[in-house]
Amino acid sequence: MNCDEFSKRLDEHDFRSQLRHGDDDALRDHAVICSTCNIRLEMEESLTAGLKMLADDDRKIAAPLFLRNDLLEAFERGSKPTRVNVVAFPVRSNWTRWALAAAASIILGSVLFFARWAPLSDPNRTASNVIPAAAFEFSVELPTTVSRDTKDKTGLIPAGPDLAMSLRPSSIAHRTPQRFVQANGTRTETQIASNEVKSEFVPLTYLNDATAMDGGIVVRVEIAREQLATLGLPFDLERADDVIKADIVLGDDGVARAIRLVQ
Amino acid sequence: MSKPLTKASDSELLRLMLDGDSMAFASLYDRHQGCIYRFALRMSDSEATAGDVTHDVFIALARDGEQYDPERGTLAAYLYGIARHRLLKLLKKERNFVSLDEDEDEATWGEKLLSKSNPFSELSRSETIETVRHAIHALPPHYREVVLLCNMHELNYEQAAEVIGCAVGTVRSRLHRARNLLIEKLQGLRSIEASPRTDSETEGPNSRDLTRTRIAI
Repeated sequence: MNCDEFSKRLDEHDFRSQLRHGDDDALRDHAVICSTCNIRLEMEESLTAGLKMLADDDRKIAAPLFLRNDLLEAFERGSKPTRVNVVAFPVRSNWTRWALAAAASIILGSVLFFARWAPLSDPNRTASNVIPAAAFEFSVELPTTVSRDTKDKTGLIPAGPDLAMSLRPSSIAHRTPQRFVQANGTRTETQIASNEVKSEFVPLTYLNDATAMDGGIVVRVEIAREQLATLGLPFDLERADDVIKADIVLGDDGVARAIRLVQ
Repeated sequence: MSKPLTKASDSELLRLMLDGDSMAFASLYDRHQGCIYRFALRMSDSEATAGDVTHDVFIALARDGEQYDPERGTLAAYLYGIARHRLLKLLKKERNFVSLDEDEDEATWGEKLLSKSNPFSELSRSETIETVRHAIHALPPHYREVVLLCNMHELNYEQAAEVIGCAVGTVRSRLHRARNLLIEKLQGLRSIEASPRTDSETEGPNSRDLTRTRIAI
């Protein structure tokens, strides 16, 4: 046995009990001839012994007596003290996730439906006050063959007048506004906004690293622009009260894990 | 004639408790309070917190006991799960505070380890217990809990995985890492403040191997 094999076998060993004689003679044989491995084996065994001592010592410890009396009294009274939010086993059933996903899809679908059809069906509103006229009527899509070097550092395509543009139907412009610029080369209102706040998921780092992204669901919410400052993201002071959409990743415990700003 | 409560299974006691039998509740409490209190005590290192957590666990059991599903694990694992959830919330809040005498404590238990090849070799039983207790408390919570559950409360990997709500492999790897961290903590001060004599003693091919082993840990 060499040192690597020794290390591997030691890692696989369940140290809830000491190594038994005959159980891992090979480990001991190697430890005799290798001082480094011998130190490691000694340390592991010492640690196991130390933990066992602490466990034995702890067995004498019990909850204070008054606690038992308090609990029994509370039980007999049937009182409901301060509510404890209990999640004993983290919920990981697919059924729950699918149900949440279905609900989110329905809500999102409804929002999109009303966003698209409700304003146009309203006789009091015209297309001009739903979407900026320039963006709606004269927007053009940048050709999909635009080379990478025409993109700026943020990944957005600069709206310079030298770029080749092709006319597209206004309905498509409405669907994907961030891909469009005005015919005169200036960016649309929507694109400026997306340039300001669009982001990848930003992890909320107050959480433990190990539990930060265990899983969760994405929920679309609306927040005020000024709240972007609390996340360390830039926002336009002039429109601090405007509401923007964001995707929040909620963990199984209901705590937000990450946020992404969308337009 | 019904079985005495002390011999009844957890499920039977739970059923009786949910029917309003306070003796069944008391039996469940007597049966499980020790391990829950000790787990909370070692996780938090505070008797007050341990008492609060134990109280909350059994209040939650009395109120929401019907949520327990025997198919998903033992009642003990369910109770550990509640305690763990409560503890992690409390620990997250307490992270904002720093104990003023923490440095002093570190120095005291660290000094005991200096100039010893094996940190336990020259310690008395009580010193060993105190040293290990302190080293456990210095671990990050997600490592601390696996050491407590697997090495002190003798849960197997599957039960610990149920409590924590993760895969068995995760428990194994966390335990492995936690044990290495414990060894590192117990050795750490000695190797940092080792005297020149100790350095010369460990020179040679083995000292390099030892360094590599420590880094690999």
